[in-house]
Amino acid sequence: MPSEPQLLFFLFVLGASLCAGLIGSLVGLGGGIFVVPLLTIGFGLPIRLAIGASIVSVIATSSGAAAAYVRDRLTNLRIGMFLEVATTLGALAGALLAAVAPTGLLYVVFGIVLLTSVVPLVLKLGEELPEHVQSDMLARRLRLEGSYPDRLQGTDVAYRVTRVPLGFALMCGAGLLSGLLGIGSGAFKVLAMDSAMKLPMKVSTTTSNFMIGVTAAASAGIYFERGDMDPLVAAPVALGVLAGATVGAKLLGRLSNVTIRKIFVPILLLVGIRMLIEGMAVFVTAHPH
Amino acid sequence: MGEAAWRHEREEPKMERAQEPRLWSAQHAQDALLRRTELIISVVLRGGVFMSAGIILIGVVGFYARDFAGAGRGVDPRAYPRTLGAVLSGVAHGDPLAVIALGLLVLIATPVLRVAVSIVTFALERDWVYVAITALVLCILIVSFLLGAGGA
Repeated sequence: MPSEPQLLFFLFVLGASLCAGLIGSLVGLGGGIFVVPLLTIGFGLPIRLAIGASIVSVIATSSGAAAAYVRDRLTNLRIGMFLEVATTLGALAGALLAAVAPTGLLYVVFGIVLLTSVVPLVLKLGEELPEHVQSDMLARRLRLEGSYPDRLQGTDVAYRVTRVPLGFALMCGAGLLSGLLGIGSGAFKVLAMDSAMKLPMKVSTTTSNFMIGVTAAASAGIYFERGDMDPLVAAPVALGVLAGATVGAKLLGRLSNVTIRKIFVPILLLVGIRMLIEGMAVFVTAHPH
Repeated sequence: MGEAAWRHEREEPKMERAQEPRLWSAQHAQDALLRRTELIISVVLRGGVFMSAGIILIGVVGFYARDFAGAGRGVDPRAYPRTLGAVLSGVAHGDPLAVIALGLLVLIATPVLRVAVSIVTFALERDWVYVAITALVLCILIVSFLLGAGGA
């Protein structure tokens, strides 16, 4: 392979991954939604190498930004650790069921769930902080309530946590999704914490950011051994995303919850639409006519 | 912009707490312990990130330096190691692709290490509920790792 096109590829992927890491770290996603189409449609790489690179992207976004988010007390550690039980269990079940699950149907169902969840998000688009939240029993028993320093309000904001069982169930779904389909689990995690458990938006995205690395690491070993993580593809993704996530983590404190939600909604739409398209594609290849 | 004002206002609740030591002490002690856990986890993540980024960067520079010197001619860029043993022996032989792969492995290991370290920090806090929760997560991770290595 001649050197110059390869170096250009490296620099281009590096730049694009920087953007993916920046946006992903703000809204709690792993950036796979940007990295996979870039590599497959943009550069014609096989899908397995793109998915291997997107796993790298998820882990890099998570660790790169979480170091700062945890230090700055934005991430709720207890909520993250507790819900990781659900996501890792779900991911394990998903990996075991992958061979027998109706993939096309699942894509369509989850795609529709994501797209319909946009409606309540849009209705509360201007809401800076959730109000009148009463912690449920599990939240109190597990001490999930917390506070985070809000630079815009210039004070610590205390928050309560509700509907923990529903959040836990949704997190099982998010894990199942990443085990089965390999995409979209960050969007689901943010939704579960924001819409079900009523956490402040920034706490939801940073806690999702904290969790996605663990879910991805669970399956990363398999992809590595299969040879899906091509060093020359994964290297610019890892370096770009790490740089982008570091910048994103510095930026988040300066943005309001409303702004973060405004960035999250169009990306949620994108993830939902992409899942519908994937689902249709599976149906078309399964029933050719 | 407003940085100083923000710092100033953030310090106020702490002063209030200091005036009411009895009311706040239990909560305060718990906060301090959680704070320590947060800092340790942050350091683990930062360390893993810096180490993996550094190793990947060395591999990338090595690869392109060899490429431009023409020494890499005839080397298949798709011939990269896929197991830990192969990665380590590749690194020992100075293969830049193996160096990048090592950096990727460090990156993958970082979140798992973070979970393992959390078990220890929660144990130091004597927070047994969260020791159990975190240990359960680590077990599930190990099981999925083993299943993945056996199957697929």
